[in-house]
Amino acid sequence: MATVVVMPQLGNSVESCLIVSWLVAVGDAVAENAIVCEVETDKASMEVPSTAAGTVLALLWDEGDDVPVKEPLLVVGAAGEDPKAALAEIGWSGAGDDGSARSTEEPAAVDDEPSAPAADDAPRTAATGASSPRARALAQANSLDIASVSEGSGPGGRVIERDVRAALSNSTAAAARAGAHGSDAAGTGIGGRITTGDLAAPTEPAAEATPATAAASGREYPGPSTATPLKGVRKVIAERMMHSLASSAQLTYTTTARAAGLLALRAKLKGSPEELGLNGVTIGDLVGFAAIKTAAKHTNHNAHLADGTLTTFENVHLGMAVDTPRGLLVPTVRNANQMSLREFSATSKELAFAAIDGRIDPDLLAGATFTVSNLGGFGIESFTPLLNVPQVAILGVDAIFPRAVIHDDGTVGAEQRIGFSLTADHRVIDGADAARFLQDLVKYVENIDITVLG
Amino acid sequence: MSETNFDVIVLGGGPGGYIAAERLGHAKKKVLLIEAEALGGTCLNVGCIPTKALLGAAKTYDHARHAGAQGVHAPDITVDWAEMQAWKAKTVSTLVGGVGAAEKKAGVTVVKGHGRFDGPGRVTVGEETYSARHVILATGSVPVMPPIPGAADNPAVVDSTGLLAIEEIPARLAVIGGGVIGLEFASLFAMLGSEVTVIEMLPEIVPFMDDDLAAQLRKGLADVSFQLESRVTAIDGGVVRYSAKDGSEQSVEAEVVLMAVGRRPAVQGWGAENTGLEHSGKGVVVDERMRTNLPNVWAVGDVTGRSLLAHAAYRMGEIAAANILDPDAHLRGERMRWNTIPWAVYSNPEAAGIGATESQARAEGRAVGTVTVPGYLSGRFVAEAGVKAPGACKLVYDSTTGQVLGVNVLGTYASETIWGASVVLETELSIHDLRQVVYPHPTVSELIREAAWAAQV
Ligand SMILES: Cc1cc2nc3c(=O)[nH]c(=O)nc-3n(C[C@H](O)[C@H](O)[C@H](O)COP(=O)(O)OP(=O)(O)OC[C@H]3O[C@@H](n4cnc5c(N)ncnc54)[C@H](O)[C@@H]3O)c2cc1C
Repeated sequence: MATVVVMPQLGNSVESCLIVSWLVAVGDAVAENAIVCEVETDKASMEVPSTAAGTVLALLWDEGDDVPVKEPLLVVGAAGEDPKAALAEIGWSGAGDDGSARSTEEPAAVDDEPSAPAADDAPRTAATGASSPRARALAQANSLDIASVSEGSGPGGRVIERDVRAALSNSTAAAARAGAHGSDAAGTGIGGRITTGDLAAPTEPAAEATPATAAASGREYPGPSTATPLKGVRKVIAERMMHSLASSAQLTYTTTARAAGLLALRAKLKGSPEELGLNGVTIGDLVGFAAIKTAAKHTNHNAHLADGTLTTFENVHLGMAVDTPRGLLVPTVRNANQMSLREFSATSKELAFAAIDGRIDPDLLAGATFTVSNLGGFGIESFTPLLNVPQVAILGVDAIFPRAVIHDDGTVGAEQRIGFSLTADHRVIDGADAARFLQDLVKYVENIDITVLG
Repeated sequence: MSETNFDVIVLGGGPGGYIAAERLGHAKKKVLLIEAEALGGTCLNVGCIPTKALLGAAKTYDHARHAGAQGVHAPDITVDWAEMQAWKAKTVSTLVGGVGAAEKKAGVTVVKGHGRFDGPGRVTVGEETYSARHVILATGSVPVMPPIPGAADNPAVVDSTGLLAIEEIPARLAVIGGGVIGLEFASLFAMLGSEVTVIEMLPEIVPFMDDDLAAQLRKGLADVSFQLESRVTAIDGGVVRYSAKDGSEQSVEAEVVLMAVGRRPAVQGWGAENTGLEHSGKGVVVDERMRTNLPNVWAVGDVTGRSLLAHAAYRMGEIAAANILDPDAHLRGERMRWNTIPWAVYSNPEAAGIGATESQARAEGRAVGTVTVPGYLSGRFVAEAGVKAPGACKLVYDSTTGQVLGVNVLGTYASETIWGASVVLETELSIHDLRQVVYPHPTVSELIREAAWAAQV
């Protein structure tokens, strides 16, 4: 009998994947583990391998469809076999609103006949199973009867996580709970539930991240133009950035540090014996290492603020902003404070490459406690990084450039300096706190040869 | 030479220590568990389990004696204390063996011996020093022996361990202290025919119970005589002298005197003093993740002095293990919530409770509502114990939101009912929520529903 290949769970935090392109068509022969399609989560793109060998009998979704994980994706079997039986076996009745399966060549493959199992006649409510596992888990965690979520926005009216989230936010108390589930921080109650104690400080109303882009349609714009609705990673970045600005009291503090030590150590490492494995260490790694030390010392910067609760972390899980073809991604170096310079350099490089290649484990794109964004490579002299909420601080690293100095003897000269921009949430970090953070950072950077010994 | 380098060393094999070792072992950590005496600690060897084995047997005897009203006649029922003790011993050895097997299955190395904590990452047993990234201190507690004249070196005076091993049922038993341990032994020996007197300094027994229910519990222990607000001044052989409520000097005479005024954390004799570990007579100081002031040194169970109950020790052990395995575990609720620990007294009648008492809630400045319903509102209760048996359920709640703040249950099955109340408090359910729960019928748990519907919210 034919085999149904399902959308794999590509990381614990992934609920659904967008099909970017099919690499097989109906009638193609596929081997087990052959790549059948490319998909994109809200953070990365990946390839989906086939779990069965045979002839592709039906593709159940179109490119551009957002497919919940564990949901049937395509059917593979013997050439000429009818895929319906295999789909009926697992109780699948179709992806689209019309209940039809999509296939590029044989739209009739699973269509027309609503003759599949009797259960299909029942209205597609949660009770018949048309809800995603994540939706069910979220509903359950919030004591919500999933059957009460009547409007599913998933394929075929399937109730997915965001529908449950929306349903939960209908009551104020529940809104707090749902909010907490969405963020990295959690409550102090059983299973991380938000308790009334956690709500001692009023929660802000959920920031509606609606950019004020006036409908341009009626206006006159000479010349050709392109309108592209935001999708995928771009859309997520857009929402996060607006939410960041709308939900926190962030401002940026800047300073510079003497870069001579960084340059000297970098030169030394570059020329060091290969066996030590340190010749690849970059200025960025050295600055990142100093930032980790500083964040570990100033735990009020290595923290999350959510629902009026500040959670400080003992370990630094460092987010690193990485420029990728898909846009800004922020992989996390977990427990960065426990790493040697060599380990940190290797790990951060590996993560950055994985992010750029779009093969990063989506779970590694979350969970940072502090973030560094380095635009030094672009020659940027100063910028104001935006907080990656619920984090409360982010360090911007600028280029090294020569600055005029007046030496002790009164003569004028120049020295290499590196710029830093620390954005901090003033709700919990006062100006003096931020200044102390930067003071220590400068010390660590100016004495980097000693810092890396610690 | 044997292996001396571990991921985690656990000092003390009671409920707090052994559960932590087991959880960590299952998570593939290399764990060493050090125990000086027997696995299972106080709880399994001289605490919860042996007392429940004897109380269970005594309840069977008591039920049989009073079964006539239900049409069951068992003439010539007798108690054989030696056989009861054998039942207790068998129960203990079965369960201690179970802990040993569970540790083995979890891959935990168990070393028998007295361990000394030398500082973060180091513990010595005899000649051997073991090292590990993490150390969990779980050395438990010891009975308090107050300096009452005549108490020391008096063969008539025993602590709970001594009373458990006693060779015959005393004709008269004097119990100093009306807390959980005192009451359980008072109830046990009263059921077996001893003449029992409990002398308590405070105005009421079981201080963490709602006063009105505690008074009902006291009345329910009909065969025990209570001397409240009475302070023991001296012990002379089996004669206990005390100044009574009215100021007069009184005394009772007994073959055995149980000293049950409490237990204190075992913070001495294993190195806590010389390592910079923050502790006091009240125990090793921990936070809600069970971290001490020393890096990677954790403490769980009675030694923290925060709650001297086995189930609290279990939970603390689990929390320490979870936080060792994942530094962010507390974000998922793996943290100690001190005010949602239930308690139970396994006397006859039983009593159990959780959360705030009425007076505690008022002291916190809450708008307090309370409701108490009698046991006979439960069909099961009446069918099995009759309408006159002591029984009640009291809810303390916030009268503006209906949130349940405390629950006390008195009567048969109370200890088995109370975990439901734990869930109620953990999840902050309200009286309105409780009304929506479906309760199996007929059960004593239905008293909680009766109380919820009787509440004025
Ligand atoms: C009579 C009685 C009845 C009780 N009934 C109940 C009940 O019904 N329900 C309930 O919840 N609780 C009850 N308790 C309380 C319960 O026994 C304790 O709360 C529980 O045992 C605490 O567990 P723990 O792991 O902290 O310590 P313990 O159980 O005290 O275990 C500590 C262990 O550490 C060992 N140890 C100490 N120092 C060292 C060292 N340096 N090296 C090696 N080993 C060491 C000891 O030998 C001991 O085995 C009762 C207690 C008593 C005395």
